[in-house]
Amino acid sequence: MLMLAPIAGGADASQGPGAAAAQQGAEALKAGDSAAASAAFARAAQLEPREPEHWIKLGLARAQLKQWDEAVAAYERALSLDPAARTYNNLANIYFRRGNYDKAAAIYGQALALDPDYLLARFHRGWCLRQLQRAPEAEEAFRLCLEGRPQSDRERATQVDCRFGLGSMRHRAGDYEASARAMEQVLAVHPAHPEARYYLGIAYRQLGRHDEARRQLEIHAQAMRSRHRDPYIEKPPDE
Amino acid sequence: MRSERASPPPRRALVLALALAAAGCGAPPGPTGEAGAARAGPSIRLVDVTRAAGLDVVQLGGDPGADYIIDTIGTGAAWLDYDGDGDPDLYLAQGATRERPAGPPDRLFRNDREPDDHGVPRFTDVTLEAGLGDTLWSFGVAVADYDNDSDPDLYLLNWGPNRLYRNNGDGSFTEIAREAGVADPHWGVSAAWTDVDRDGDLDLYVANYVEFAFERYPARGQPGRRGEPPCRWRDIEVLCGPRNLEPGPDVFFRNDGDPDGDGIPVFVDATREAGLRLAEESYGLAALFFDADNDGDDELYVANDSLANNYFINRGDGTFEEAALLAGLAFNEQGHDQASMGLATADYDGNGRLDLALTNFSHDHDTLYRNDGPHTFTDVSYAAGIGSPSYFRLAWGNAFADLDHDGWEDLLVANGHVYPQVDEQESGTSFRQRNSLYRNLGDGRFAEITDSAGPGLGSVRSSRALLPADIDADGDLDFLVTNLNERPDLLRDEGIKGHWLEVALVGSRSNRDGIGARVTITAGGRRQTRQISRSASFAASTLPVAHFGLGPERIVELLEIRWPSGSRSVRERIEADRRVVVHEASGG
Repeated sequence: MLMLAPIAGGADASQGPGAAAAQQGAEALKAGDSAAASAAFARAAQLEPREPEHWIKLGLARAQLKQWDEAVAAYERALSLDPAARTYNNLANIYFRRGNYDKAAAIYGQALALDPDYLLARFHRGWCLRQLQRAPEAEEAFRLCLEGRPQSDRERATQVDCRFGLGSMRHRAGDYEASARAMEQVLAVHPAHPEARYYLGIAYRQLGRHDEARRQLEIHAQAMRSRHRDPYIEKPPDE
Repeated sequence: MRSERASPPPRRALVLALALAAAGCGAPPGPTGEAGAARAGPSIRLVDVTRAAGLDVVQLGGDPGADYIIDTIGTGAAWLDYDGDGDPDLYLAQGATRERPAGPPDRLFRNDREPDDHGVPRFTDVTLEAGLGDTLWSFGVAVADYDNDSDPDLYLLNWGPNRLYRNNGDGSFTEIAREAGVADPHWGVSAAWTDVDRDGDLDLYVANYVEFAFERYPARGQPGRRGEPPCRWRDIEVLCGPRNLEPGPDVFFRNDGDPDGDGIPVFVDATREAGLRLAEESYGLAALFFDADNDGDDELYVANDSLANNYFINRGDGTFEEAALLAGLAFNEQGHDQASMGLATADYDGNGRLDLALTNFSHDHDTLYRNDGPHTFTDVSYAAGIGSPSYFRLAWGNAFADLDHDGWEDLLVANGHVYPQVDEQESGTSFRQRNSLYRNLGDGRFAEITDSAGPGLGSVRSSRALLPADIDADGDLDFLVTNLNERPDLLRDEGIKGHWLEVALVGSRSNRDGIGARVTITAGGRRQTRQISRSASFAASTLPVAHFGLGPERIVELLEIRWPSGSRSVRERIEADRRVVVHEASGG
């Protein structure tokens, strides 16, 4: 499952005139109040317009509000002050969410130009290229991600995503042996990964391993059946 | 080879000759596309002729505010030649509202043959004289000649009991659903007919959606009975459902004929007996019979909203086995269940196997399943070029049709959201949407050509059903699109075409329309395959005619028909640009 995680960075380090507003924004973000966060970070950015962190956080809050154009403007302002890889990643995420994979891939590329070891951007770029049917480039992006040296649990998880991405590309190419191997590796780390389970089942089917295929697919189907149900409707009573 | 005869219907030949004369052409068989193709090459030009055709009628689909799920599904339609004069007439279903549960009556429009100066046929409302005009909240229309008496009958899917209108053969209909045993009380949206048990008459599968009653569910913006917050979708307050609404049970009615000879057929609920009763019901919106394994009997595919889809393999004895999961047809490529609405089948890649196209909710792609046989399908939506363009659209009816007559079936899709509220904020989608046309490139890929296919695809509505028919007998396909709470769009193709052939069947041992027959032609060294069906994707029906584009080929070298009875017909060297009617041999 692709998680487009914007990188919020650490606590806002500003000690300037916008610090108090930024603090309020951070607390609002933590409380899940994106509208209040957006207003607070806008104040902070107004008070300290040359502080990129305020613009990044403003972009983050606006993105949560799905105010895409406004979020893009905030990130671009941040990039004009400090062209950081994580800001490019967040900006690219917006284009990804809006289905503009070409633009998103290009901006993830800018993040990687600044930080070639940025595994999350590597994965996101690979997924964009996958959506664009640029198979060789997508596979290359996922391979480079897998060759990276993860520095954190999060980056190790990203590499699992990259393995899944690569496996899904091999699947599309009809290389079901490679797809099955990749999905087995993903499931070894993340047994509840629903998409990997499904790909593995279909790969087994294509390889003629029907009993194993059926087993994997049934596990997947069971997981899908027990997924979320809307909580607000009760089953109509018998009358 | 068994005896058969083939001839173009007289009226059709007349219209063709008149059209050619008006265009200053010589004698038939010169088609509209022949001279044109030499001049400028084939083109698609869909033009909205709804008003000119006299079809300026709003189809009520529900409350425009869409407070309940029932307000969103919209209404279907059907092309049928109810009076047997050789041209397609039109049935338009009508919905209702909570305040006015007896809605406006459904309408039947007769195609009056005589085109206006621009070649657009006129339609006349004949609802009353035909004895039609159901006022229940109607959704889908499923046409079939269930009694094999050579005229099409109407099955109407309602919220409430469904209707079966028997065509009396004199331009009128009689409602017999209760007597025939098919007055299913659930909320039906689509139904499909085929001869499951191959006894020569058509059986009926009804896709039911949810068990809905206004008083049982909160309206949009209202809390649930236990104080649950109002329903939301992507942070927008919207109507509730279908998840956790109780699914409506689908029903399979076996046609046991008319043993009493009283004109009333006997349909028996054989859902369980046929292996079509599932342990868990789902939210059925569309059903399609098609011969996926090319063994002469039809599989059944059911498109469900929000849950896995179902695929039933026909065992050949009138019973089925559910096999969607292993067939790769329950979920999309990534294993996600989709909210599916419409279904269409075609051999889009020309390998002789029928593939499957699904339409889905927004923020998800429409799905193209390539049939890799036997009972093995692969989701190729993105590789085929359907996935990305469809992602933000909410799609309903779809149809494979060779619009440019190049020998490859293109894909037309009707789009429109269910939530009017999506326009209140940026979500990548909108309530009213343009419909989509994808051109089949002939190499397994499609390219969207909506912008260059004529002004008829420029309209922006919340569309639902989509059904093809050649309304003006010029050899190319035109389309009716129904729209939620608006008038339908009648899209006439005024483009320049290559050659074509239409094949209609008259069964004797098989059902009269030849539903389920496989028609294969060879022209210019290429084989093309169609299956005869009246199903039109979502909540709709069309004529049981196979339409082929032939490009520059003037001769169809071989026409092969495999009838549902198992018999075969073969014809050789058929001239293009005509409708061929093939009769099944009556002998053994």
